Amino acid sequence: MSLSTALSSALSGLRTTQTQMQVVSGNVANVDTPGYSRRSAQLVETTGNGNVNGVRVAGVQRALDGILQRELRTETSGSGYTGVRATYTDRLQSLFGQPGDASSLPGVMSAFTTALQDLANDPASSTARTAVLSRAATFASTLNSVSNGIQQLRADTETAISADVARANELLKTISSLDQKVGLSQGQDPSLLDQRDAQINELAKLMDLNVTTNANGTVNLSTQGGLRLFDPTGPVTLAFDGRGTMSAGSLYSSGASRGVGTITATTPGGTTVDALAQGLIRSGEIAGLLELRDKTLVDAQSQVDELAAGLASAMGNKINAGAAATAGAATGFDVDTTGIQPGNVMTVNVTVGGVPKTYSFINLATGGTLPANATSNPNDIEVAVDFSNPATAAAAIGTALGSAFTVSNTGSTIRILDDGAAGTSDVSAASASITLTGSLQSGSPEFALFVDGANGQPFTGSFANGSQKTGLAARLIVNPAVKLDPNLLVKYAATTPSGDTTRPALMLDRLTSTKFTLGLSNGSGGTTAYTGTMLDFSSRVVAAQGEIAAGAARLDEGQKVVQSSIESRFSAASGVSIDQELTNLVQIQNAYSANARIMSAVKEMMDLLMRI
Amino acid sequence: MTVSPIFLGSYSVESLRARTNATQFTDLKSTMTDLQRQLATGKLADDWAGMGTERVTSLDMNARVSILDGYASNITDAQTRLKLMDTSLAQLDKNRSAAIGELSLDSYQLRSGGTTQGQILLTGRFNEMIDLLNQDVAGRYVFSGRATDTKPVASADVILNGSGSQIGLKTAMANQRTTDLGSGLGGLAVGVSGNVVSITKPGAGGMTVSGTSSFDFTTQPTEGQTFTVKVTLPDGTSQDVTLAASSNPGAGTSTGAAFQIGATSAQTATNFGAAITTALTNVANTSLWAASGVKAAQDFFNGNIANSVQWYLGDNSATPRQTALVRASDGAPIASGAQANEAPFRNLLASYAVMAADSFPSSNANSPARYDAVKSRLQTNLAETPGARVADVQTELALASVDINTAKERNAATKSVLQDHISAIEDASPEQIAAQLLSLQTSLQASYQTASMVSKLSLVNYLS
Repeated sequence: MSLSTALSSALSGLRTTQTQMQVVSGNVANVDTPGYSRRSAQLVETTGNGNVNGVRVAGVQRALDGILQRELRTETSGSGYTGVRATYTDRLQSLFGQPGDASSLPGVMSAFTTALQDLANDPASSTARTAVLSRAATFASTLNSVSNGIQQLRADTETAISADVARANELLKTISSLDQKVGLSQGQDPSLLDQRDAQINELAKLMDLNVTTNANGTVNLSTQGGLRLFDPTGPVTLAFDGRGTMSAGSLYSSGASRGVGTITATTPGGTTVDALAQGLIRSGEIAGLLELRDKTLVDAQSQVDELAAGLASAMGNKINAGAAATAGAATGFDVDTTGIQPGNVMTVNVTVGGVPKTYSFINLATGGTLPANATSNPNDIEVAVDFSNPATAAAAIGTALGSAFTVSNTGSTIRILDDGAAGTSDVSAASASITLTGSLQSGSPEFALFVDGANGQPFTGSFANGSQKTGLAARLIVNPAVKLDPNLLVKYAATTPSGDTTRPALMLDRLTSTKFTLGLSNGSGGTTAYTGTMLDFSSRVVAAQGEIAAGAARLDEGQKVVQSSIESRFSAASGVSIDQELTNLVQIQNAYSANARIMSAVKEMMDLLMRI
Repeated sequence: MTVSPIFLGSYSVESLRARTNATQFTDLKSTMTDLQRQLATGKLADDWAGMGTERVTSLDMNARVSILDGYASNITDAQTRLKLMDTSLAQLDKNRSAAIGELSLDSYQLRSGGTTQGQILLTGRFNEMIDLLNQDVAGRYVFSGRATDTKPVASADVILNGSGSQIGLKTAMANQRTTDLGSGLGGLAVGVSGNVVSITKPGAGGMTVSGTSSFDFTTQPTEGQTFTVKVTLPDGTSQDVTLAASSNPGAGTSTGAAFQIGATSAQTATNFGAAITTALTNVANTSLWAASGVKAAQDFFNGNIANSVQWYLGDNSATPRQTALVRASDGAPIASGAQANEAPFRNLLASYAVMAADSFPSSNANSPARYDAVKSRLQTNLAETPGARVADVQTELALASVDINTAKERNAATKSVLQDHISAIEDASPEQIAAQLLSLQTSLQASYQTASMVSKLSLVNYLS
């Protein structure tokens, strides 16, 4: 090896140390840049004729653990999902007020109860009457505002989805252009890769991603559900047809009657896919928002609707319990269905072959179709019956109950009998809950204290134009006729003395001691039957929202821990450490000095040689 | 304690440390703020989510407490009402027994106003009774049954003198007297046929004969032998008119109490007929007059007089106690109502009102006898019949009061148990918070110190 080779070798050493220096300074400079992964210069020896004649920088590489990166993206999607759920469910629970606050839903309910207690104590007192009306109005307006708040939250999710979809499109475009460059550089440019990956990570927060890397460093993106987002032919264009306003009736459906927006993806080739119809987005912020909009908040709305409907019916429905009836050995009940309104329900409890069953015969006199789970009781068998002709109604009931029962009618009174001596069937109870729609002084203590604000009429639960219950919480108002004439709170007949407690006591009892079966959301899309007083039910509605919020917050907290830990591990592998860089710096300085020393040694030797 | 993620991938060890510190400090600070809130509000949580799994229990119990508070307010109200009713009834009963005594000492003697001492006293009692029955508690008339917004009893003036075309008690009494008097013998007629004297009732009137109504003098009566006609009067009282046979009725026995034994049986019958006619006329002018007045008053207050004023304007329930139902607990409501038209009150009012309505002018020779007849009837009536006593009403209301007090104590016990439980769920204990704050302070200080130390430990500071 000649001195000139040594010189050129030292020179290459100086050149590489300069490059290394550049990498270190780049690392140090980017110490606070998120998404920047630590770079290192890859050195290779250069050889000539079997001898080492120098060093060169083969390339600058970034430190990256592919597995950790994939995990990081999965958890990022999860965090996007839990984060948005925690935020919205917290806002949802706050709609019901603060615990112990008089303006909270339980507080308002308590105040209404207290006012009714006062009225039942002194029905003639105009103060007590005014108080009941005012507390009832507060209760109704609280339900209205909770319901409006829920729909506002749904509208917010709609807006947020729209923004997220727009952001996803931007990200996809950026990813596309960066990915092309990555392809051109054959995946050798760490800064292009870093930038592209940072965009992909941000996209992962919005939706779950499945990333596959091609040989030239480019990637293909799709969701876990199989929605293709990006491949070398280009990104899909996502679109969201959000709705500006939202009501309880605005629901998702795959048909044309859709009341909320859906996300569509159009490929560069022009094919369009409905991502929601096929459930292609399963995690990330968008999935969280969709679940809130179409499930959690819809459930919350149906809970307050159930409360509103339950209360309106509790005050306004006369419950005709069946009178025991016998015919020979057969026993059963006579149920008076006079005045049964569209949507009113006749309930029949039977036992067939030892199995108890509850039948709900729902009056569909004015048409309409019965949705699944039309009544508050999720465990009943629901049958649509047109009660406008009692004879046909009795026949229809007979058909539904089967041959073990005999159903007949005398006028509007429907008789249901078991099979008598055979003893295989039994009728254990039968009743009809009938909304009183006529005069408020009909002589019945029940009366429509609350009415449906849409038409000012008592709530019957009709299905003529969709379910009347849907969105009732937003429409519930105190009957204007009662507001005009507070005497109606007491005088259930024209001649009722003003100190008569019958009607106030009925209102109070229907609120605090009569048990009703109502549907209670279990927070995960299902409904369970809750049997209890209206007052207890209202507590449960609020508690359920509290539990959902607490659950979402716990989940989010846990997800944050996971996310942080994976970020820490990922950073340990890929992040810059000043200490490490400075250690490298010392090493590079030494190498530089050594190379320089060799050069000066070669020079000295050369000089010596020249002097000869 | 968690580090807020940034979602963008890797970051340097230094910024990781800085962010860890920042998050730690923020978290500790927010925990501290929450503890301060707990200390200030005394509540563990300020939202439903934070209340934990017992939130339903807490909500239910709070609702129960609110209902118990409602009961408490009902109870306070009912206690005030019952106390006032009890006082009123005690006063009524006291007045009643006092009146009996006063009447027994009283005799017919007109005062300057042309009325007797007894009349003055009983008119006073009458007015006082109307006032007592018309009492209200905060605008709620307690003796009106369910018509709590109606003053139950009309004014004394309206009751006595009527209103418009509707007659008052005075007219009712006058009418009754006219009707009862009939043609002068209260509807009776004395007929003599041979030896037989028959007392019949051909006409309308207030007197009837019960027992013997036919007297045969075929056998001449012996000296001093008595003959009694038992007369029943409209108010249900009866009076014996007894005549003694005498050969010289002018001497020894008082006039009108004896008749001349005639020479023949027919003569004796004629004499008896004349004497009994005189005696019955006297009864018709005095006892019948008094009885008719009392009867008219009773009918008036029982609502049995056609076209009379409505003296009672309240609720007309057959079960007066049930007209005010106190909800003092979850159990059956406690019946604590009363109506001014209950029998004991009607009896008292009728008794007092007779004296208030009547006049006994000195110009009428019958006045002293009439006064005595009225007085004795009132003394009997004021003594009350068992089962229709003012004291009975008072006792029933006192029992309601006892029930209410029992409910009150039970409610208080329940409420205290509930509140203990609620407090265990909802309330933050100041001692616990203080301890937590202290340990938080320590860890915050330690964190600050560590952070400051670690931040100095960088190779940058040691290379020169």
